[in-house]
Amino acid sequence: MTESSPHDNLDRQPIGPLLPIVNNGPSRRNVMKGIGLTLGLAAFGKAVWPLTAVPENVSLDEFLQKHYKELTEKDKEHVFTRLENEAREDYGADVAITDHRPIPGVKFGYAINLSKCNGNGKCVEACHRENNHDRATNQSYIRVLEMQKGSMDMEQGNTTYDHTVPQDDKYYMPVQCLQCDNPPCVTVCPVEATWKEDDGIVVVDYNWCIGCRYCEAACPYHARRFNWQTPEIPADEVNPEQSYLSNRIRSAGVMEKCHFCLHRTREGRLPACLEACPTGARVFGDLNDPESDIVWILKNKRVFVLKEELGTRPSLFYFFDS
Amino acid sequence: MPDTTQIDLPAGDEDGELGNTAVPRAARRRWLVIGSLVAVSIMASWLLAASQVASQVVRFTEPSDAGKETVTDGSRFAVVIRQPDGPPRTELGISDGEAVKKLGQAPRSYAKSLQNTDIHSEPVPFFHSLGAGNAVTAACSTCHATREPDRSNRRADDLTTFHQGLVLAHGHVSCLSCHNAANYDSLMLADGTPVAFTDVMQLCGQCHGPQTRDYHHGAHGGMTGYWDLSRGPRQRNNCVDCHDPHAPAFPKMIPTFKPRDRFLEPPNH
Repeated sequence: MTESSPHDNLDRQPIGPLLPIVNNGPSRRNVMKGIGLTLGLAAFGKAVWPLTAVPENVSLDEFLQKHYKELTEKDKEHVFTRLENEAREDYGADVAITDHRPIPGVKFGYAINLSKCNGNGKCVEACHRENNHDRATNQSYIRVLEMQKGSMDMEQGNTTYDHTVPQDDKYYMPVQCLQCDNPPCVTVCPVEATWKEDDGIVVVDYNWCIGCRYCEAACPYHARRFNWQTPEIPADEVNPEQSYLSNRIRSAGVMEKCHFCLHRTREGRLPACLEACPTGARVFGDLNDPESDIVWILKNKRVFVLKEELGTRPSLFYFFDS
Repeated sequence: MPDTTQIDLPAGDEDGELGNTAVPRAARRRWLVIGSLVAVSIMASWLLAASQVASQVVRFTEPSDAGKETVTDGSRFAVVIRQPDGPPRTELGISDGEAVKKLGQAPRSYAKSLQNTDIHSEPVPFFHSLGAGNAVTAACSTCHATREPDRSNRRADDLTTFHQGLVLAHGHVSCLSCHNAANYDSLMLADGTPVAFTDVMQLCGQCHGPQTRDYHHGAHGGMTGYWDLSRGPRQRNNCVDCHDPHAPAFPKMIPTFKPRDRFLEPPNH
């Protein structure tokens, strides 16, 4: 314990008229001033404190980046270049990040044939590779539920089966984001980091997302994923063909979800999961084109949507052959 | 500016009426001026924000319009259905150097040993590992041109000499339901019309109507390429890409890829 109090020190070395509070002794007025000053400084400190919580790896540019919808073309160029540089620094991969906008007049639809799907999981793997998912967790936007024939109880669905498929008493139901027309995940987002675009795809601005996971809780299909840690991807496995709103590498602490491979589908190509399906169970197309395969299926097959009673109006349908 | 004063004046008047007895005239005027200034500034900022939003909307539709022009050029790409290479060639399980040697030494015994193996199975890896020459293959007609077709052979079990081990699990069809006895290098429709191996889908389609219908509407069989044929072509599988014509049931598979996140850990973990 030290003998001298702060007051002793101050008495010996008067600081001068600059600090009248100290020199004039503890009058009521000065005490009140001192308290006021202390509280003021404390409030200011508290107000700017969050700045210290900005992680080391977040640059000022990233911190000040605006919402995707508010970015001008020039801003986007700037942001995409920064993200490309980050991918090079963090993953050693040369990637090209572009901005794919909806094709005017197109509304995407997806249909999965439950008579054909045999649960082999090639779609899950294709999604994993296409969308730069974390290698450590085998993350993917698709989960295939092994379901008891005759039951629609998804809570009894098993995703961890590792036996030969298909089993005779089971059917297999791949679940991914259904791109609802009435998406609960969008409604609950407190910062509008997720929204529905003109072609029906629900997208996420990964840089605007605050990671509160409300959307994950709101989604009745468990279609949204949270990045618990920074994805680990070997440089030679990074898919360099990336889009800002789709498969660019996400950081820890943000939500992500299936985006119908918009970096492919908005170029007119088929989604990666469809191309990978060895059973031909997946059909993709434009719901606004009366000649498209997807429209033929909706007109001619036994089609249903998942949890129709919730009124989410999905753009992904399930159907049977007979 | 006239709008704002119009909107604001009644409000000011109301204030005036309410405070008529208590507030002096000069003070009323001052509040009127301050009130209208506040109203003007609020409306100005609102208009400014609205114009900014409008300009943003315009900015964001620009790239979409640019994309539209490339779409509506009218040309459409093809749906390419991949075809088999042609009549299959049977691998005899030996390389050409070995064949000359063996057949030269003991043609009879070698031909006999060949009878007891499935010559439609994969070639014996041993000869490939030697790397000595190419695998020997033979056209169907190499043997069948000189052999009379035996119509009593209906099932795989009926075969006593060649094609041992062939699995035929395809309804009640027999060999010559599809294979053409007049020319084994082609196939045959139910009405006897020859059909090339490359056009195998015609053959399958004559029985499998619903599958063919679904196939042509994209609801059966895999594909790659473009959903939008105005932007690029699409490649389709043919029947025998996925189905073994002798045992067409789609094979069982073992899933090789499983997500490992915390929701999927076993409950006792």
